[in-house]
Amino acid sequence: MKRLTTILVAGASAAALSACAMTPSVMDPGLTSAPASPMAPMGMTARPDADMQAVLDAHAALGAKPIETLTVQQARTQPSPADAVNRVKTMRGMSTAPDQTVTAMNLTYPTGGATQPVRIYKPAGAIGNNLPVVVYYHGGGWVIADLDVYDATPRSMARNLNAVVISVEYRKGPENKFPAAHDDANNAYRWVLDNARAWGGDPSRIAVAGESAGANLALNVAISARDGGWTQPKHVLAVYPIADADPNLPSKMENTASLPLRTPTLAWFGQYALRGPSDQQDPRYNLVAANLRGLHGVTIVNAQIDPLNSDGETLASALTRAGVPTERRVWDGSVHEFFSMADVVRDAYDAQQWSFGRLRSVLTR
Amino acid sequence: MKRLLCATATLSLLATAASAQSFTYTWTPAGTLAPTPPAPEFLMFAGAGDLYEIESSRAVLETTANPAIRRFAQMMIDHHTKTTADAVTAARAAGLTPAPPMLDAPKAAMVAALRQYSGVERDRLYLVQQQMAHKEALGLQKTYAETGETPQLRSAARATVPIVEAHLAELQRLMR
Repeated sequence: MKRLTTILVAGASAAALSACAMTPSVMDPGLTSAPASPMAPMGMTARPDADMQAVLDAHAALGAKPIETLTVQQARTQPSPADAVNRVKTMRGMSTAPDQTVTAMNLTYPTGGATQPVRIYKPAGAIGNNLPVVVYYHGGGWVIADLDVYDATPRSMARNLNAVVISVEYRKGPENKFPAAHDDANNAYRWVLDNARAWGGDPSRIAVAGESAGANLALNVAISARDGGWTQPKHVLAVYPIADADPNLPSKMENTASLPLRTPTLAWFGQYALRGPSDQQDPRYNLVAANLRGLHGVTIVNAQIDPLNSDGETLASALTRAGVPTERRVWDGSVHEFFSMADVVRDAYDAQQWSFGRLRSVLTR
Repeated sequence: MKRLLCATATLSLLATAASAQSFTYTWTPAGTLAPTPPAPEFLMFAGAGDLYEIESSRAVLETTANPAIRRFAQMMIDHHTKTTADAVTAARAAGLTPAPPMLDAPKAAMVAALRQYSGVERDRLYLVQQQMAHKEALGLQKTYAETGETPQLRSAARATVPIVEAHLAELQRLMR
């Protein structure tokens, strides 16, 4: 929020404000004059920023319920955070159409005796055979969500990095429990190494990225590449990764009522994604206990109002202890899932610019 | 880009009030407030909570087509008007002069957010807001009922606790 204030003070504010004067919430005199409350919000580390709260409000208005109160089928089909973003865009008169400057092509890759979908994003105007390559794994606790729900991040990444970005579907629980998703993630990565040239990508300049459960997959792929002797990713972008099984970490104690993810939601995901509680001690889940040596570099993005915030913190410490170049930033006033919301949430825009900038500097070196 | 800037400028106004997030009162894992607020702060919190209940319920009554929500909202207006009156009576009996209730910034923002939606969308957001607001209200009243310093207000808080609990139970039914 601080950088934002600076931008406004710098001069753009007057014109922008007059152009937006019809927005009802700003016109409400009670809002600007009401005093701040000295009482913390219950079950949350902090109060979401106003633009973040607007997405949460839209999600509630669409009928989204806390995931842990739903069946798997309900959780997979209820309005997604991406739907909430589109609702906010509609309210602001913005287009909800995907960015057409990036092309998307649907393919499949072989894994687990069958195939899984991938979507290959590429800037429409990109030419040449040596674009950087990023393999991206979506979130959803290894139980819910798909390539459509997580369209925004890989699309934005392709445009910002001028890269080929491959968004990977993988088997999920409870139909396919741990480590099926991890096996698929590895198979997808190796398939991309073999095929990237066909899409104009340079497989020697490759990174992995992911959000939430997908960030855990991305980190595990980097470890598998090291151990398997495959071309190692030059960098890992891990956005609020699942990385630490400790249930008593501060952010898990604090965020028992946050949305769209709260501590009880993590237990719900575990129940369906894992074979049993002991899988939480597997170093692929509990990454802080994994051998992290030899990874080429990791960028961690965290949200302050997120039970997984402390996972990012302890993982960054473990990586640093293992000698891995690591940078981590936390966006105050943001919640889990904020990263994909760059069109309507300022912190998400900033987090993308920062983390994509780090990927760019590694991949274009 | 202009759109982004536009949205950003709009939101920053709201954010400046809410972004200084150092809180005097925080929640314990047991759902009570720590430290226990002194009488003036307790009255301020309780009054703001009641006023939010009343304002948000008025907002939902303007647009709802759901008879169950209509009944609940009218009950919120009646009950929370009464709990404010009871708190004022108890405060006067203790020799205090409570300030008139006013919405704090987070609660004013909640009412404003409701008014951006209509129909079933406003109904849904209303119920989600109500549940959170009532959980906080329950925590506040329980805290004061157990450890508040002013006996008259402690009694009023004790009487309010089951009312808020009944509202939460009714909300559970409405949200199914």
